[in-house]
Amino acid sequence: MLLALTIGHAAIGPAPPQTAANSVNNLTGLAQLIFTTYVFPFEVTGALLITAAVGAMVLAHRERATPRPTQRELAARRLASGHLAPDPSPGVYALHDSADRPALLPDGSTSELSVSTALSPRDPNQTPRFVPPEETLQITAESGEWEITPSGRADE
Amino acid sequence: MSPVHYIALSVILFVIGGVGVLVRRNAIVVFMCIELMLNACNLAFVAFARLHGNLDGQVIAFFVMVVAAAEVVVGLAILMAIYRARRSASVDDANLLKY
Repeated sequence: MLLALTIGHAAIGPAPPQTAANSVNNLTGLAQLIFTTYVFPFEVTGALLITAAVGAMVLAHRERATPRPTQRELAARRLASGHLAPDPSPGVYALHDSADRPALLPDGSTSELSVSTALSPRDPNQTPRFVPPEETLQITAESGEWEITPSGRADE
Repeated sequence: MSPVHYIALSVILFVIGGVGVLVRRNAIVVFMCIELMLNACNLAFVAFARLHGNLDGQVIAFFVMVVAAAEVVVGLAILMAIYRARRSASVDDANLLKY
């Protein structure tokens, strides 16, 4: 690289001033070149751009596999599904309130319907993520209070 | 500033783009590296045009830009079609024509 630079400096030298080409100004010189010498490549360029745009549209276009369901079909589907009301919202707990915690049903079980199918439901009793890795919070069964227990030993 | 500096910069940019095309796996990054190489060529064209004292190199750089735009339009459309079919933008996954 350095060698090429040095040799280039010696062989090329400083650039000559652009006097003839930029006699009026740069834009006028460019326009004269584009619309006289390079007018045919310029037109081919236009055709290329049109072709590229059409090709991109053809490649990116996708037909619907099924016709769009009408509102009547959507209503019939909801009636047939068995529950008319909207899905229950996710659970709100004392320590975590996020969309992946399922809601608790009156009998104490969790409702899978309350979590979006894009998420995997997490156990509402699972410990939060912001706890330091060496310690986990657990509810003791007797007092119902949070207690810090070292998780490493609990696994062993 | 001598035109040699511009040519050296264009060589550096071209090498970066070429290494990126050879090394990277994500097709979008490969596209960006191709664009880098094309723009390095543009820089070289303009530098040589300045060196020769005429404007032909600048006109060629203009044409290179147009061709780069058309290339990236069709390339991204192909990439989108491949992503829809294979759920991946990696150039290693599109090996259906390989064997």
